[in-house]
Amino acid sequence: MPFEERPVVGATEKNKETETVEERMVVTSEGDLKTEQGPTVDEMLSRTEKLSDQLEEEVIHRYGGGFVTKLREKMAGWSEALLQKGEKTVDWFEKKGIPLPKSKLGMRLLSVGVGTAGSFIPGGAMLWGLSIVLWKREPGARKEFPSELATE
Amino acid sequence: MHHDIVQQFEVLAGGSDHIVEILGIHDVSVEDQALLADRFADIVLKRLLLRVSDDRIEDVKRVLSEETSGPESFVSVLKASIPDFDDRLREVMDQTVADFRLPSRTMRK
Repeated sequence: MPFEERPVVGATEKNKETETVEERMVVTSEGDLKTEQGPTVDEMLSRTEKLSDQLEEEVIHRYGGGFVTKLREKMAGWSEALLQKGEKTVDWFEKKGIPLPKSKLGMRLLSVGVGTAGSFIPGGAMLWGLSIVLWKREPGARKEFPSELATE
Repeated sequence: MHHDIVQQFEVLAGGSDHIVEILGIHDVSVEDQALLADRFADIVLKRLLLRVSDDRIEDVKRVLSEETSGPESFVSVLKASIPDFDDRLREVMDQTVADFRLPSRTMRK
């Protein structure tokens, strides 16, 4: 079944300017419980944009100009090489008993990879970079790094 | 072949799921999840690069400049160049979650 036909809980489109990413119950100074809204997507992005730029300047200072661009290019190449495989289907993963991603983002990546979605969404290269750094640190993760990742 | 491809998807999807979880962004659109996850990854990776020992910076640059270098060599050189890598990674993840102003929930030991 193509990814697009799958019902995804919480997948309703909302206004990005007002949509908050999380609601939490907090205790007020009077001891009452109240709901606290998390930041909106735009707030999170704008809050971290300056930080990202500042860190980039520091990385360039240490590694030299062009390094961050090179890093992004390499990671984009690695992720594109993977996402263009298109040799399997979502059903194939399920029939093999391979756990499907839990998040909408993970499912979108999978659907691009198996060819049921045309292209990926903005970003992605750095996400791939961090994913491989986190590899082996998740509980139950395989101990061996996929050997095919070492080739482009 | 195919076993390795499956593993690659596990890496990517697992990383995505993990970031969506710790940022608490399950309910936003997939496009926004991608933007936020990529920004998060961008900041974490830059912070890790800034924790590389001075004497290993050239090693990291060399690995990135090699035509045939892949993700495995990138991870290896980072691990070899950042003292106490696992602790530093946890630190950086927690710090970055805080920068998004959400409590860290999944990096606890």
